This record gives sequence, C-alpha cells and structure tokens, in this order.
Amino acid sequence: MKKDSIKTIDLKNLTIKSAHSALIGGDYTVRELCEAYLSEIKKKDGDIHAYLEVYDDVLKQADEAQKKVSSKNMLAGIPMAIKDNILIEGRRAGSASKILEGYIAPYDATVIKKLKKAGVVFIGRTNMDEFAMGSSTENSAYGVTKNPHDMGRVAGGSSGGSAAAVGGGLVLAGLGSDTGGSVRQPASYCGIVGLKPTYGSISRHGLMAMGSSLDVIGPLTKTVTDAEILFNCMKGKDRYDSTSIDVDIKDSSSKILGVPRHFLKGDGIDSAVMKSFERSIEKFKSLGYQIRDIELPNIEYSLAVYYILMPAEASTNLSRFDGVKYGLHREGKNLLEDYLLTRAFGFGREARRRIMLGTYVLSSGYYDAYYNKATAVRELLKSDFARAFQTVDAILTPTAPAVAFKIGEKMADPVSMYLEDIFTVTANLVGVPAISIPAGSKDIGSKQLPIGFQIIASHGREDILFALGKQFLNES
Amino acid sequence: MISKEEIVKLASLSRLKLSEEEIVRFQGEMGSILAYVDKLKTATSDNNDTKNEPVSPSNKNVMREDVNPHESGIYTDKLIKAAPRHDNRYIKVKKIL
Repeated sequence: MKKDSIKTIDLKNLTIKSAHSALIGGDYTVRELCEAYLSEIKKKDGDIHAYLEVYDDVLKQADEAQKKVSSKNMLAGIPMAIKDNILIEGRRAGSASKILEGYIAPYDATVIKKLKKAGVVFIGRTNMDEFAMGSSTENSAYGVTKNPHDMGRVAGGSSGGSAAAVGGGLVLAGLGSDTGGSVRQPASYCGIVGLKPTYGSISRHGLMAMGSSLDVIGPLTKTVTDAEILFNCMKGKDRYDSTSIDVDIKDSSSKILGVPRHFLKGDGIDSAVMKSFERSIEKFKSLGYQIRDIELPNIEYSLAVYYILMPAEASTNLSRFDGVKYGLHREGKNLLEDYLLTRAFGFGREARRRIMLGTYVLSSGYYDAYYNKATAVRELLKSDFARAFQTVDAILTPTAPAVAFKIGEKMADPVSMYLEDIFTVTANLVGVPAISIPAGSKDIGSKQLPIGFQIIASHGREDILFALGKQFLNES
Repeated sequence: MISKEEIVKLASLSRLKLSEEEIVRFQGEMGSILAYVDKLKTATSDNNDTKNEPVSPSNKNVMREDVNPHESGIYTDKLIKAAPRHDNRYIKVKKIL
C-alpha cells in the first residue's frame, strides 16, 4: 500500500469492541485506524466544529499504542476525544474559556493517566460550553459545535464536542463531564450512549471543577458495551480525590422498572419524545420486565434546587480565576482592577451569570432562603429515590424534553435553556448513576433527529444500567 | 425583582466589571431565574419541615491530614510557569498595601 493512501475502514459501524478485535487480528494497525479518523476530521470537522484542537502527534501516539495491542488490553490503540476541561499533561486545556488562554496542563487527570496506561490514543480536545455551563456548546468562547444529524441544530451540551465527534464518526469514543446532564443530553441529541456514573466512582482529579458536589466524568460511546469498558478502566478510589470511592462489580438481576408518570405530564415534552419513550417501555415489557408507576414527590423541585446549588458551587470554584495563577491576565491600575478586568474580559456571559447568581444565593440575608432551603430539599430528593429503589431496580425517563433545537433558539432566555436539564439534574443531586440510550428519531424535513431515554439506578449499580442498556440495544 | 443596586453590589462581590448595558440585562435575567427557583418555597414534607429546621446535609467535606502530601517542591516550577506573570520561583502581583 502506498504511504499516503488511507485504508478503508467501516468507521460508521466500528465500536471499541470490534476495533479491538480488528487490531488483534491484524486487519489494520493503530496508525491506519487513526489515519482514517484524521481523514474524516479533515473532511467534516470544518463544518461540525467538534474539536478545538486536533493533536499533531496522533500518529506518534498510534505507533506507541501499537506495542500495547494484545487480547488482554481492550483499549490499546483506541482513538478518543477529550473534553477541554480534562487535563492532559503538556497540552492546552481551557474549558472553552478565554480566561484560560495559553494555559498548559501541568499534570495528567487521573482518568487520563489510566487511559494512557491502557494505550488509548488522544486525537484531540473537544468543544464545550464554557466551564461546562450550558446545554448547547453555544457558550463556548470558540464558536458552536453543530449536530452531525442537522448542521442547523445544536449538538447539545455541555459535552457537545465529544458527543458530536462520536456521533459524527470523527472518533471512536469520547470523554465528557456531567454536572446536570452534560454527558447524557448531548448523547441523546447526537444519537449515542452517554453515561453519568455514580458520584465519586470516577476520580475528579484533573477535571476543572464546576459544581464539586455534582461533577462526574463520563464516557460517550456508540454502544453500552463500550461505555462499560471505559467505565471499568476509569473507575476507582483515587488518593487525589477525597470524594472518590470504589464501586464493586455486582451481578445484575433487575426485574422491575419504575416510571414517574406524574412527572411526565407537562406540556413542555415533545410528543415525539413521549411516543419514543412509550415504545421503549413496551420493549422492556416484551423483554420480560415489569413496569411500575412510581412517585418521586419532590422531583418537581429538582431543577430549582440545581439552579441554586450549582451556581453557588460554581461561583466558588471560579473565584480561582483571577489573572494571577493561570491563563489570561488583564492589566489594571491596581490588583483589584486586575481581577475585575481579567474576569470581565475572560468569562463569557453564562459564566458571569452563574457567578452572580451563586454570589447572590450565598450572600448574607439570602443564604437561608436559597442555599439552605435547596440543601434541605436535596435531602428530600435523596430519600425519595432511596424509597423508590426499595420497590424498583431502575427508573426510566426521557433524557431531554425534545430533540436538538436550532442554533440560537434558546440563547435569549436562560430559563428555557435551563429547562433542558429537567430530567437529568436529579441524578446529579442524588449522586446516582444514569445512562442515556438512543431510541429512534424524529423526522423533521429530510433530517432524522435522534431521541434518547434515560435509565437511572441506585448508587454503585452501573451494572444494572449496562445490563438493561445492552439488552435494549441487542448487544451481545 | 432584583434591583439595579443589588446587581452592582453583586458584581463587585463577584469581582466582575459590568457595563451599564450588562447591568440592565443581568437585572432582567436574574429576575426571571430567581422567579423560577422561588418555587422551592412551596417545598415541605411532613416529617421534615424544611422551612425552619436547619438540616445536616448527608454530603460532607472529606479532608485529608495537612501533612506531607508529596515531596516538597516537585511541582513548584510547573505550577509557577502556569502563572501569566512570574519571575523565577515567584508569582508577580501588584502591591496590596
């Protein structure tokens, strides 16, 4: 074969599992696999804009990874895209924010360390809403990522770049972070699988913090099997994240699935999404599962709780960006003006909005009415879920209330954008794992826009999510 | 409704410089967000009256002992280099007093 010709690989149907078999069988090399993706990126990413940067040493990484390819090593040579808020030593990382212009990561995130050891090839860093604040990547300082299924629509967010890269065939798997739905909602919009693991099951060390009691890193993949492979590689207690925990692998034998019907009656839910959701329920019935209507009495408060606690934590976390320690510096007359100018210029509108909101709910006089009240209702939500999981093994809801919306449609009204998270935030507040599974699509004109649904299980029961998801998608 | 003066005060507490136009916009946007989260006021439960009772959240900070986390100095150069203004092993800031 000539050196500059690209080997034809069926990237569309490729999974981590099938690529692994092909690499072991010698059907192609890691270099050839990476070349195939780089060629796709060259062709398509000018339009999609999933990547903020495609690394210039991909083929060098590929040759190194080739040495690790073996039947025991599932992830050796697998090309992945990494959200711009996860640190890889020596490379740019910026959370798609101007305030981190020029910042080079001084160390590897724990997940990156684990993936490197497994022989993963990092293709590039992906676009996102600035500091993971948003549901569309429109809050990126570097332009919006488009949905590979319809270029006029958003890819979702905040992990929209990783989702569009996987859904658009520009990489085999991606990493995102999920604070209120930022892995699951873009997965749903891009027609792929997105896992938000149990809080603490994957180390947050090296993930830029947004809402520290909510944040978790999660994989974006084409299959549930692939999500499971990545979860198993990345999970575990880490000495650099004091909130991290070990999750034991259990044997799943779930039979009863709960549906909170009382929460699915609002007129804000697209009828195509509900129809698809009902079909998914029917499918589980036909697979032998019992479906039970459940009550989650406080779930209607979830989003309000979330939009108090998250900004409170975010405003605290973002106080470290002051023009002194990292990235951007704007020169003022004195130190205070350095802060004011650097932060005003460096943070985009949504980041500033959340900093202001967080400062408000934490300020004296409002603290009790907002922060304390939200913390109390969060406890109620936890007991709602604990009670529900006494009678059901998993809970089903849609992932998002509608399909991907048009670029610009929700930018003028922050509350309408926040409502995107209505079904996803609760899992973060409670700390339980949840997964978005693709389940059909809605036809709009000539475009087919993907629809996903969500499975939620109790703490540490990712095994239930994997078992149900695999059965639903007929993965062996 | 949140007042213009409150927005100006919050911006100052948040260390953000806002333009006149942004002050007006944030006033409207924060007003509508706060109106939405106000629904929380109606949340109560029989066995846990969250209106008055302080709660002890089940989420707790997990601290480590503040002793020798790693060999002293091994990260210093890398971290100093990340600062936009630095000089050898010092981060440069304007004088405070």
